[in-house]
Amino acid sequence: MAEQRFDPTHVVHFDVARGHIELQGASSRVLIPASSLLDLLLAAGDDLARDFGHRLGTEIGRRLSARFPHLKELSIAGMTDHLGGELALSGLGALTVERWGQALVLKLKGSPLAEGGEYVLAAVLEGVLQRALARDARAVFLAGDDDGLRFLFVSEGAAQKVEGWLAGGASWPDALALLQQRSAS
Amino acid sequence: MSLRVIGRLEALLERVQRNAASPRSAAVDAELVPAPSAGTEVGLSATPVDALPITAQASPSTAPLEEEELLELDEVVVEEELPAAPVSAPRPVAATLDEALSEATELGIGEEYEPISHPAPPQSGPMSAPGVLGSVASPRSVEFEVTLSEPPPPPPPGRPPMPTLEQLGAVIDLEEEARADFELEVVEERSEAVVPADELELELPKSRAPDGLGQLTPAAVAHASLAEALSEAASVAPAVDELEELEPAKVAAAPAVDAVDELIELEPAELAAAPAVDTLDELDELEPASEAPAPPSAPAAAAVAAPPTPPDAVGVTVVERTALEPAYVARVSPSAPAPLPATFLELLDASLALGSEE
Repeated sequence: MAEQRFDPTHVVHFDVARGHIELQGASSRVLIPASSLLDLLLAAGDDLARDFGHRLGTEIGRRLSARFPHLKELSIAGMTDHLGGELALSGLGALTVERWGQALVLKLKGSPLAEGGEYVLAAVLEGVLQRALARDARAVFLAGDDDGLRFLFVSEGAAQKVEGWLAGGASWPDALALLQQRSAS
Repeated sequence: MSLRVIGRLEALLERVQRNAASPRSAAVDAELVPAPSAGTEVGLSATPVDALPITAQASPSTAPLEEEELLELDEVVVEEELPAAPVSAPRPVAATLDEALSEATELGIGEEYEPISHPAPPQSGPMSAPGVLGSVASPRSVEFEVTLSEPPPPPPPGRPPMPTLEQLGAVIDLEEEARADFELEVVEERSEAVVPADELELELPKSRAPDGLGQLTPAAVAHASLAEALSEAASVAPAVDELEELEPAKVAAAPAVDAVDELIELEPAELAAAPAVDTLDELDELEPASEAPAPPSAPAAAAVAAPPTPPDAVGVTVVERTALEPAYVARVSPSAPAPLPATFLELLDASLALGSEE
């Protein structure tokens, strides 16, 4: 059966007379400069910033669940389409799903929070997967460049290992290869 | 009668009444010198001051007047009396305006006003011949010079009119002598380009000149020579029937060349060593060239003999766009790729399972 494509028609409504911005299935929005938001999050600290990201991701996951009751049956392409659409509506960047062996890597390109807001974006993605798929996954920030920001989604134990390898100077592809080898042995 | 005439009549009537009331002024008027014309400089008149009779009678002052004062007085009096016409005797004052008007009519006032008439329209006179333009003509006798040429012939039906060279402004008219010279130069250049074949001989180095190819000839001559050379090469090359008898080593010994310069450096014997095949079946019977070591001077042949192994792109799946490098892909998944999960949740679960088996 063909999956329904993401349709953003009439999702965002600008009520100029009342001065409101409404997102379908969500609370009121506020259009603010991304740089100002990033400055605020950096000044708030890691814990508050991650909490903010989790709440934002949870809301996105709730909208996904409300739109697709059978969200767990979505294919990789379908989830990429709808999750990427919701993230794009929030202005967080363009989503790409990569599979490195058995590892799931999500990549965000063109995000205005890329410079300094990597952990906020990781928290957003964690909140989405937790709310939409009921999975507690840790998002490990692998690397960021002009190609985008890559996040690896593994368990808490595997995340600590990968973060240790990355801190030891290993490149993120080497860390992924090492994770695969340790799991296979 | 216009308002202007009425105004002048009223001024005249007032003046007549004033003159009648003042006998001294009437005497002054009788002795006035003729009023200067409008273009005369009154204040700087060349008339001697003492010659003006008005100075003795018009001024009641007993003190002698200075010259400047006399000039000013003369100026004032003259300005006042300018509009007045000299009269010899006082006239009776008209009692009413109608009488004044009738008097004015008798005096001829108003005859100087002529009705305004529009100028006559310019006449379209005949056009004069050229040659009159150099003379100065009055504005009403402007003359024109129009030169008409023969109209161009109508274009043939069915084709758009083409502008002539004169209309385009690009008329190239070569003199007969220059045209002859130009054609002569062209002919001379052509004579240089055409060289008889038997006059052109170029010696090649002996090492590069195979037998029978020591002379370069023009194309027309070389065409015939090439046919002869091909017939000779066909006699030297082994026939198709003899190909089965060729050793694989000999076949592989055929050098692979990738440039014309390398072809020139080959000896005629090496050229003859290349087998000639006509069908694919005959080509299949030959041993592959990769079994023989490639000569060092033929890198292209080595590349063909040992093509790079295609990258093993299995094991990594990218949705929408990929920027993976082949080395990383081979390192992550050196073995057979795992089956692609059906759903995103399965992929997430597989990723969560990584690192938990230890």
